[in-house]
Amino acid sequence: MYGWMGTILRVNLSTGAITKEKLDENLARDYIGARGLASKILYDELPPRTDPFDPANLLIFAAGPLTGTAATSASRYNVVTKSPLTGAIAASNSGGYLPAEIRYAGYDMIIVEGRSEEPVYLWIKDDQVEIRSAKAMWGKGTRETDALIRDETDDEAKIISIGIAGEKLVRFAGVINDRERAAGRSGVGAVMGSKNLKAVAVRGTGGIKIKDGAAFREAVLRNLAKIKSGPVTGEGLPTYGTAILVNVINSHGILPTNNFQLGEFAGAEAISGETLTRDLLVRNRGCLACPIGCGRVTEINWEGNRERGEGPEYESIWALGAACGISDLELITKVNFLCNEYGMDPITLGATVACAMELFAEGVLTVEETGMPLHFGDGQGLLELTRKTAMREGFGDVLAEGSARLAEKYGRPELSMSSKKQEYPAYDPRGSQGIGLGYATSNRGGCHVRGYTIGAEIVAAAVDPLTSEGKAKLLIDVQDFTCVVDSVGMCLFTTFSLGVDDVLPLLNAATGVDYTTESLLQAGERIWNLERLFNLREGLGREDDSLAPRLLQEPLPAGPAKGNVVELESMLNEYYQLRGWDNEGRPTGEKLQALGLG
Amino acid sequence: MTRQAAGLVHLELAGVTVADVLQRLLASNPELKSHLFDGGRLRPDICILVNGRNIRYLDGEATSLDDDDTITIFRQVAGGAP
Repeated sequence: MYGWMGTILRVNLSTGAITKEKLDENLARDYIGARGLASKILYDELPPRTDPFDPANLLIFAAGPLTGTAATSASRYNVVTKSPLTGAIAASNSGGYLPAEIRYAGYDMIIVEGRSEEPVYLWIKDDQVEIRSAKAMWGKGTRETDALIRDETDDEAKIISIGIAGEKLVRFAGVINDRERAAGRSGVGAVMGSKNLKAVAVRGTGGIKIKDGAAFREAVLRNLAKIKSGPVTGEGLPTYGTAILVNVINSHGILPTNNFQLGEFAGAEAISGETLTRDLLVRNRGCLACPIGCGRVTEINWEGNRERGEGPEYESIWALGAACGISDLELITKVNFLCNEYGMDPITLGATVACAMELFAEGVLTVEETGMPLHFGDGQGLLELTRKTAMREGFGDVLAEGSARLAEKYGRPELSMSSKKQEYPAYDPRGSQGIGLGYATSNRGGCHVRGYTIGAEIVAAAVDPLTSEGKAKLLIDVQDFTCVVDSVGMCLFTTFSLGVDDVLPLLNAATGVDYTTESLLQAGERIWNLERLFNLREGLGREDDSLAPRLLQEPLPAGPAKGNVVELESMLNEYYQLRGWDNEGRPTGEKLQALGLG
Repeated sequence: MTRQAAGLVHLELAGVTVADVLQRLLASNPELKSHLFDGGRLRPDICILVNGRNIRYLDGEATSLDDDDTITIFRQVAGGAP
C-alpha cells in the first residue's frame, strides 16, 4: 500500500493478545484515515450503549495517510472512543511528533480494548510490541512519566500518557503526547485510565511509501508557499499564537465572560496575545513538518521559581480567564501547565468552575459544599480547585464530573453552558450565529473545531455574523472539509491558507488513489454521517442538537451584539434539510445509500 | 503589526465618518500608511469595527460616527472558511 502503512495494531489488555491486521483498502479509501477510519471501526465493533468505562470500549490512536510525510503540518492523529463526558462519539485531535512515530513504526492505528488488571504501558518498537508494568509511573504526572518511560525504553521514543486525572477517571481527562501536546476534549484520557493503561511508548525507524514522489513534492512546495504567505499562517499565528484572538473576539463583543453572562471582558487586554508575547513568551514551537509554529514556549515566575512550559492557547486563556472573570495571566498560565501535567482539558475545567461560580453567586452552592468561597475573578480558587479536581478530592470530586452533571446535581441544569454535556469554547454564538448552529450540531458536543465558522463570520468578515441566513450551508461545507483534514492527518490551521484542492493532490500523489474534489468532500460527508449514525444509535437525537437556554432566551446585555439570541430553530431546520436528514435529524435512506452507508 | 508600528494603544480623534478618522490618523502617524493602505485603498486584510460592528456591514468608510464611538482597527489574523 502507498500512503497508508496497511497495518492495524490491536492490543487486548484483558487477555494480553497482540495482533496485527491488514488494513482493508476499501475502508481506507472510503474513510481516509485517522478520525474517519477510527470512527468507522468504532461504529462497526462497539456494541451500542456500552458504558465508556467498560473494558469493551475501544480506545483508538489513529494517524492519517499523510501523517509523518513531508506534507506541511501533517503531524496529526486522533484519539477515538466513546466519551464518558457526553456518551457520544469522541475524536480528539493532537499533533507534535508522536503521531508520525506510530506510522514510522509501521502502523496506521493502534486499537486498545479490554482492561489490564495492573497499570501497564505499551512499548512499541517497530514490529516488536510489549505490554509492560507501569507500576512505577502510576500516580505520576505526564512529564515525569515521559522521562521514566524513555529511560526504560529508548531516549528517542515518543510517549502518549495520562496524568493523575486520567487515572482518577475525571470525565474530561485528556491524553498528552510529547509532554505538552494534548488530545484534550471529551474525556478520552479517562477511558485510557479505565483500562489501567498509563502510557504508550513508540519508536519507529521505518518510512512511508509515496506513490508519485515528484507530484507529491510539487504539491508540498506549492502548499508551503501558500502557508508562508498567508496572513494567519505566515504571520499572525507564528508571532502571537492563537492568543491573538483575545482582543479580536472581545472587540466583537463575543468573548464569553462570567459563564456567558457577558460578551465583553474588562480584563481582556491583560490576558491578550500581545501581553502574552511581551511578558511570558520565550519562543514559538512547531510540530513535525510544520512551518507555522503556533506553539508557545512560555516562562512564568511562580512562587520564586522560574517555570517553563507550553501554552496557554486562546481557548485555555479564555476558559481559565474570562469565563471565570480572571485576568491574571501568570496564574492562568500556571493552571494551564497543571492541566498538561495532570492531563485534564482546560476548556471543560474552566467552564465547569465558571458554572460553579455562578451557582455560588446564586446562593445555590455554599462554602459548605465547595470548601471555599467561589467568586468570579478568584484566581486562587481556580488554582486550588484544579488540583482538587484532578485528584477527585473534596468538591473537586463533583467538578470532575463536568458542568452538566454539576448543574443538574444542584437543580440548575440551565447554568451549564454545554451541548450534549460538553462545554462551549471561547465564542458567544449570540454574536456569531453560525457557530451557534455549529455548537448545537457538533457530534461531540460543544466544540468550535468541528465547524469553525468563526473564520468566515468574524475575522475575515466574509459574512455578517449577526445574520442566520446562509449559515447552515456555510457550516456544512466547513464540517465536511474538516472531516477530510482531520482524517488525512493534517493540521486544521493549514485551512486558513489551504483549501480542498490543495489537499487533493497530496493525497492522490501519496496513496495512488484517484480522488476528485467531489469524491474527497463526499468522503468527508460520509464520515460526518457515520458519526451521526453512531450518536443516533447511542440515543442522541434532535433534542440534543440544542443550546443552553441562556443562548436561546437571554439576549446579550451589552456590546456590539447586544439584544441578540441564537436563532437556532430556523437554522437547524435548514441544516437538516441540506444534510438530507429528516425532521428528527436522521439521515434518510436516500442519503445513506448515496454515501454507501445504507 | 499595526499596534507596534504606531506604538500606541488608544487614540482620540475627531471625525464625522470613518474615512475622516483614518485621514486624521495618517496625518499624525504617517508610518501607518503602508500597514493600512495599498495604493490608496484600504488593504483587504485590514478589519475596522465601529463599536464592535464591522464596517463592511455598515456603510464602509462612509460610516458616520457619534461622539464616544469606539473604532477598532486590526489586521486580519484568521482567514475565511476553506
